[in-house]
Amino acid sequence: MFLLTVFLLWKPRALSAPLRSTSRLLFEWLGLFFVPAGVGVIANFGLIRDQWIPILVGLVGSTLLSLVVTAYLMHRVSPRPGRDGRVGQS
Amino acid sequence: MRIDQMVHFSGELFRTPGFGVTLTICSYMIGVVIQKACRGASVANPVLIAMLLVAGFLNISGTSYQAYYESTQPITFLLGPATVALAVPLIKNLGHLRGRIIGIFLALTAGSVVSVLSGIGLVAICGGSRAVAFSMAPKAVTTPIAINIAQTTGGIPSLCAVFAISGGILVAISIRWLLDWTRITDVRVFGFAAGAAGSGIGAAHALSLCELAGAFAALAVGFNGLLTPLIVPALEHFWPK
Repeated sequence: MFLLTVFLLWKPRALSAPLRSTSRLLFEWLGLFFVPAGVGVIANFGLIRDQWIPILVGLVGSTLLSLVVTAYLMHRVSPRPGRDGRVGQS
Repeated sequence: MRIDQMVHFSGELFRTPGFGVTLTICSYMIGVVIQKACRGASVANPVLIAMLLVAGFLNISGTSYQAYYESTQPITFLLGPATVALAVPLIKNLGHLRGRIIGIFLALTAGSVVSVLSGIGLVAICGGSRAVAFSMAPKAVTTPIAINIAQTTGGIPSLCAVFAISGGILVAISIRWLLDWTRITDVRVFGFAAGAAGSGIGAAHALSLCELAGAFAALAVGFNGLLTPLIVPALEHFWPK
C-alpha cells in the first residue's frame, strides 16, 4: 500500500481509470475477503468456550478503548471540522 | 445411491475450490441482502452473517474448517490487493493530510499502544492464557499482518484472525453510536478511528460512508501496519513463553 502511494506520488498520471475502477470494485467486496479467515472461529471453538470471559472482555474492552483514544486525540489535533467534513454528507 | 456413498460424494464435493468460493459468496450476498432489508443497520453486518452461515453449513455437512479454508484461497488471496488498493483513496485525498501529519501520527501511536496493552492486560487480568493474550495483542492491524505477528510472538494465528475480524465488526457496529455520544461529527476522525481500531473491516465501513473517511481509514491501516509489528514483539519479553 505504501509502495503504491509513493509510486502514485511520483507519477500521478498512473492513477488511471482502470486503477480507480479496480480499487472501487475491490472495496465493494472488501468484507467478503475476510469471511474464510473469520470462519476460523469454529476451528478454535474449544479454546473460545474455555476462555470466553477473558476473550470477550479483552476484545470488547481493548477495541472500544483504542477507538475512543484514537478518535479523541485525532479530534483534539484537528479542531476545525471543515464544512464538507460532516458525517452523513457523503 | 447408498447413504455412505452420498456422504462420501458430498465430502468430495466440498473439497473442490469452486464449492468453498460459491458457499462464501452466496453467504456474503445473503448478508448484504439482510443488511439492506434492515435499512443498513450496522448490527446486521454482512461479514458476521456470512461467517455464521458458513460456520453453520460446515457444521451440518461435517466439512472440516481446514478443507473449507484451503478451498477458499482465491478469496483470501484478494485481501492483499485490496489492502494495496487502499493507496487510491489515500492519494486522492492527500490534500487533507498536509500540515497535520504529526498530530495524526501521535493519535495513531497512542491508539495502537492502548490497543495492544489493553488487549494483553485485560486478557491477563481475566485469567486468559498467554497464547490468547498474544493472539489478542495485534488484532487492530490488518488481518494478514496480525496473523504474522501472532505467529512470531506465540499467539494462535487462526484465533488472531478471528479476533481481528470480530474487532473490526465491533468497530463497524459501535463507531457511529460512540461518535454520537462524544459529539464528534468530523468524517476524518470517523474514518481514522475506524481504520486504527478496526483495520480492514473498519476501513470498509468508512469507505461505505464516503471516500474522505475511507482515505483516513486507509492511512490509519497503513500506519498501524508499520507500528504494531514493532510494539507487540517488544512486549513479548515481559511475558516469556
